[in-house]
Amino acid sequence: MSEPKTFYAKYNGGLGECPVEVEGHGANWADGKEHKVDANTARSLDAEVIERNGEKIKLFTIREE
Amino acid sequence: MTTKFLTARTELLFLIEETTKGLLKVPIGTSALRLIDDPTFDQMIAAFLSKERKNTYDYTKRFTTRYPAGKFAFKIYIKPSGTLGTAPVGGSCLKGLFGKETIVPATSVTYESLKVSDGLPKTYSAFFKAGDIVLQMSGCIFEKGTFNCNPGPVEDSEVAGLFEGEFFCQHIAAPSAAASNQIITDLVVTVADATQFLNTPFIEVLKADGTTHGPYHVSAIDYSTNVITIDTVGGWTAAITTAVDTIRGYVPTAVDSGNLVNWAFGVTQEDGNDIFITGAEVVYQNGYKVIDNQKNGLLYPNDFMINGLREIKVNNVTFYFDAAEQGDLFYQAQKLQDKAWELPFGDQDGTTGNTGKFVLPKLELETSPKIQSAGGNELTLVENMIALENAGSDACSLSFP
Repeated sequence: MSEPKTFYAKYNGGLGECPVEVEGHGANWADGKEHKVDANTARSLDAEVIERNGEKIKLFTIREE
Repeated sequence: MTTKFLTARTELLFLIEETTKGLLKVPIGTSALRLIDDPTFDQMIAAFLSKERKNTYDYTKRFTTRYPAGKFAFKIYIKPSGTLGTAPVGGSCLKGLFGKETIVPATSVTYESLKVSDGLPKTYSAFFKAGDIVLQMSGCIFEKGTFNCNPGPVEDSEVAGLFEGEFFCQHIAAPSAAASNQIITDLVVTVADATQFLNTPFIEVLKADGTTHGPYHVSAIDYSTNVITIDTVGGWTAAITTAVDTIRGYVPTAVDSGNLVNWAFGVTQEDGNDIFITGAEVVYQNGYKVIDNQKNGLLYPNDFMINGLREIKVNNVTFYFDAAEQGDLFYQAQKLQDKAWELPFGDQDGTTGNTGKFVLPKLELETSPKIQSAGGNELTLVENMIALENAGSDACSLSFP
């Protein structure tokens, strides 16, 4: 049985200057810091890619420990 | 029996532009739209009564045929991003409605109408979660948008859009327990009740420890054996070798952004002059038709055409009546005189990036204005206007800023 992993997500910007909220997580994502998330949310946020001027931007950086 | 009671607070809506017309596409978190009223996502079952003449006065039999286009309607706030050149929340609906989205980096986002040479608009996939059920609609086309401008100090003064349209096919997924000790190694899973799923939806797999896998696209459902087959479209990567608890409809984790703005901000411009309206309603109606009568061997529609003209109106424009200022509206109506309008909105400070405006370069009164005293003794003037093109499919556009 492997140890459960801990996931952290950091918002990279890209959706404008307004506050960003992640369903079920009241963190201040605009602070540019890592916030602990569960595995399902990490997976979901990792898929967040938007296109700006033809360039794909990843909205969140995910780190696992 | 019902053992739990859910509220509308559990509702979630996601909308994403399809890559292939009518092919269900998985949304991402930033596709989230927050509903502000009850939505509609209905696909009628075309069931008819048999006309066989039998020796009874009761109906004897019903039969079904192919499905007509589904209909949707939902209302959301249009929320600017706060940043020039970044689309507002609701931008996917606006692009669907107008047809074109032009982004100028760090400057503007503009929604403009399709020209004949532009062809068909994009189709969209909508995922609507209410409680535990997920309705997934493919081939959504936006036929109508209604924007009520209410500049008074009332709760309906936020900038919102009611969007209505049709879709090709509704795919449904509600939760079902997996058969005991299920693992998924070969793209099939046996569930307790396969009738919880309809029309090849996107699902996710919930394990006993609360973690999920997915989304996976269902390719086949066997209602006699309760076996669901998953294909690799949804991104199947590896076998799930620990016991599966539940199979359910997929939605991503919602990512919200955008700022609420209102209609109190800004002054309506008519031919470059300030006018003080007390209300208006912009109605943008496309002339689309989902094709559901072509004998192509399919049960659900899979295509649409543009079969009508685009009708854009500014209805119920109200003013406090001042004959010295507005007496000429009767003349304007009779002589089909046109005028250009800009109808702005924004946050209370007019912050750059949090404003927008409808631009209608050629409006004509449809009828003579009406003088009335709605609600009180004060006289108000009501005009209904129709938007015409000025310089090529430009009867109405919406820009931020």
